[in-house]
Amino acid sequence: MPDDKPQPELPSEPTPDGATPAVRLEHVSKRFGATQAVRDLSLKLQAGEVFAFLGPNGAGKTTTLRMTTGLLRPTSGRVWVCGYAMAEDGRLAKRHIAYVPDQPFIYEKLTGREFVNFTRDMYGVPKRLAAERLADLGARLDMDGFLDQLAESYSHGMKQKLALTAALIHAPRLLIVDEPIVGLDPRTVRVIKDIFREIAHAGGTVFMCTHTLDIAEAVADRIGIIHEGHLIALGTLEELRQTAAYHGRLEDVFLRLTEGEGARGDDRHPG
Amino acid sequence: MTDIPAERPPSRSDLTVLLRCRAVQLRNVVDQQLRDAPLRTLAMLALLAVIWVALYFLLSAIFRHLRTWDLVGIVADQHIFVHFFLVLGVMLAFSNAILTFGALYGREEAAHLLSTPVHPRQVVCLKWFEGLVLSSWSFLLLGVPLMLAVARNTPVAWYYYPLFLAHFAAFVAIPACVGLLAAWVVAMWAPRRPMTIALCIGLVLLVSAVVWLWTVSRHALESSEWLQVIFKQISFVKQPLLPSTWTANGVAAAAEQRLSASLFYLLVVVGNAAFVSWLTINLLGRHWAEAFSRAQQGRFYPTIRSGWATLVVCRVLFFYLPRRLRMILLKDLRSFARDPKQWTQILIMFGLLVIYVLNLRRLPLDLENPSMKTLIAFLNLTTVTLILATFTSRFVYPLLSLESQQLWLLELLPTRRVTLLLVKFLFALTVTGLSCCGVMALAVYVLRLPTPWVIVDMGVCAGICIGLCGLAIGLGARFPLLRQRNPARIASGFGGTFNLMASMMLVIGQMAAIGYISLKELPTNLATLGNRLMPQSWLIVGGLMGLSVAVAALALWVGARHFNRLEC
Repeated sequence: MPDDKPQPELPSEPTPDGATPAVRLEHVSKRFGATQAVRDLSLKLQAGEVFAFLGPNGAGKTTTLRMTTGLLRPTSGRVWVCGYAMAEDGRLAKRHIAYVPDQPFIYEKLTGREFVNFTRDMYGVPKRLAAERLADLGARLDMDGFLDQLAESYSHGMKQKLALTAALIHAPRLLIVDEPIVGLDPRTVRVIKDIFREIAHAGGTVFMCTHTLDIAEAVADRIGIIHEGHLIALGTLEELRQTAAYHGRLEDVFLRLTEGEGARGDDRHPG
Repeated sequence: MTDIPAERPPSRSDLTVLLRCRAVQLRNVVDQQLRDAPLRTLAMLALLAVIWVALYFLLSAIFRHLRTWDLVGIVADQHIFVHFFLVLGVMLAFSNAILTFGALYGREEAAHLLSTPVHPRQVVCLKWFEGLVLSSWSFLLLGVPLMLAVARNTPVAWYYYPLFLAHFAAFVAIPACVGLLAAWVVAMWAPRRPMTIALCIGLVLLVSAVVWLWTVSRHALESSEWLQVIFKQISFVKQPLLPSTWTANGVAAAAEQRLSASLFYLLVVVGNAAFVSWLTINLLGRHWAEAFSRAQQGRFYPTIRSGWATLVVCRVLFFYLPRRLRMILLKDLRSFARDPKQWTQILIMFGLLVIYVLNLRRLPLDLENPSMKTLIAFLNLTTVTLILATFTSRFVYPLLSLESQQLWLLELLPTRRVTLLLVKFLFALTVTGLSCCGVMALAVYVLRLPTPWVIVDMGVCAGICIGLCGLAIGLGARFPLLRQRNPARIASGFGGTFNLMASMMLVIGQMAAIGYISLKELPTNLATLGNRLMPQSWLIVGGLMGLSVAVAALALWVGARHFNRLEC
């Protein structure tokens, strides 16, 4: 990573405890009617790491992310973010979070710049600091051409860029992103990968869920795989390879782990 | 948590930031409207003004008519105000509940705000405020004509006007709170099918209204006596503990120049509205996150295994079409049947018309009088076709734009694009034709119109159905909005507005011609409404039907030409 790129800043105040995990899920379960979306999930994400959460469709990834942001309440178990219990101190926890869902919400009758300013005011970021951050992110994500147009005219990719910019305007300690690179061009994907690494380098945490295994392989320090609500694997890519007893690409490791016993009789080594 | 360092406070309160955001959005919308569609904005304002003036004269005539019945006491008894504010309160509470449910427990803005550190109480406060702003429309559209109509028929003091406004403003805060509370109750304890609950409540209210109408109109009573019986039967609404009664008393006192009494009731309403608002905002602010979470987990998507009912309906209605085209229609029919927003509006509109038609004979009208019979038949046809014009503009017009987003899929079918256009036309014509001609058939049967007038009414109604559906489909294909997925926005674009205006002109033109025929025929058939019409009248009716078909054909031709060249 080139050194001359500006580093995202973190909020001035420290977390309650330097050793406190950025995210701590303790025996978290979530039930939607008859469907058990997440089962007894325990997970800790440390400051300074990029964590990728993988799993097949309907495995419980987005539900976990939404419980971490406080949008959903767990049926059982507890969630802490930066040391704050989400159930009791949700507002304090949310000051440290930024969440970019897979379909980001943007007020269609605001321009991109007005939306960023709204987020700035919501988090109480000083105007000058926010303007500097917006100039930097706008240039890196190539947003200058549309920042002053109404958001209703944006493509999905433009909305993704704007949502990410607004999310980073208060320099969150924890960035939670759901499918961060869908609909983005290769150049923007590269910039986003760089930004994720920069956040981790500056002591922040990135918690992303994705189906794009390449980005997980490229930037994630640790990877968790969830299947039918169970966390079936957790660790670095190397540790996952050992768990799967398969020394290949993440895609093959993922398929091994999620296909179950049926696939385990096949070759355990890449061709 | 004393060991946690203090948070950096935002420079502005959350509510200020949210209100500023709303103000900027409003400014952008106004700018955009004035820049992109000044004519449409002007037309919309002109239509509103027409509605407003019409309401004013209607209310004014009602008050004047009551005086001729020597029932001025009714006004003094605040009956009219009590009913006005009660019905207004129920309508506002219902609409606020539906809007609030989407705004506070939906997946878009609510989820976005809930993931930020915004204070929940301030978001609820914003929604409460938006409820008040929404309710202010009711003041502009209904309150002002009522206020002026009363003032025209009663000598009032200058303070009547500001007091009326103050009473109105204080009153609408209460249904806004009731709406917020109702949405919260649904989100907390019945989140699985919120729309079903809303529909059930609406249906119960509608059935109650029908039963009540049936009861009060059972005896054919004459004018003032009939009205008195009605007021006697519904006197239960004048409960001293209802806010509508306080507001009605206050407004009536202001009209009667009893300033202190009016101020007393105003303070009662303001005090109660303030207390209920404080309670609602704090209660919902405390439980918003919990209610949002419950609403998300409760959403219910039923499994549909066969869809046999729509299949049978499609086979019966479109038996004459080849199977391939019927399959396209089946898709449209299923989309229609599974979108309650569309069919409930048809059901409510035409349901109300059916109730009215069924009660026609019970109304205190002399339906044996040819003039009255002709007038009622004319009004029936006008109402049905005007409703149809708004329906085709709102729901039929966007069909082609929405379909164009899947055009690549339909392109793969061995079907020409123009066939697709005709299939949409047939679908729209079948649904609207059955509804409109059904209601009109019932109306002419209840009125016992002579055969020539039955042919005129039914023929013109069918012709207008063809014309309006052709216009909506044809212009929808000519001015499609390819990237827009929201039917309401498609309908409010340039093409949608053009279609609405063209549809209105078609209906108004045809109804003017029917009015002319009625006026020409009446003097020659004063004793009995004519069993024979003059040849000129038949010519005009034939011309009207031909014009409708020609308009539809022209619009479809123009639409097809453009649609064939369309690239997706």
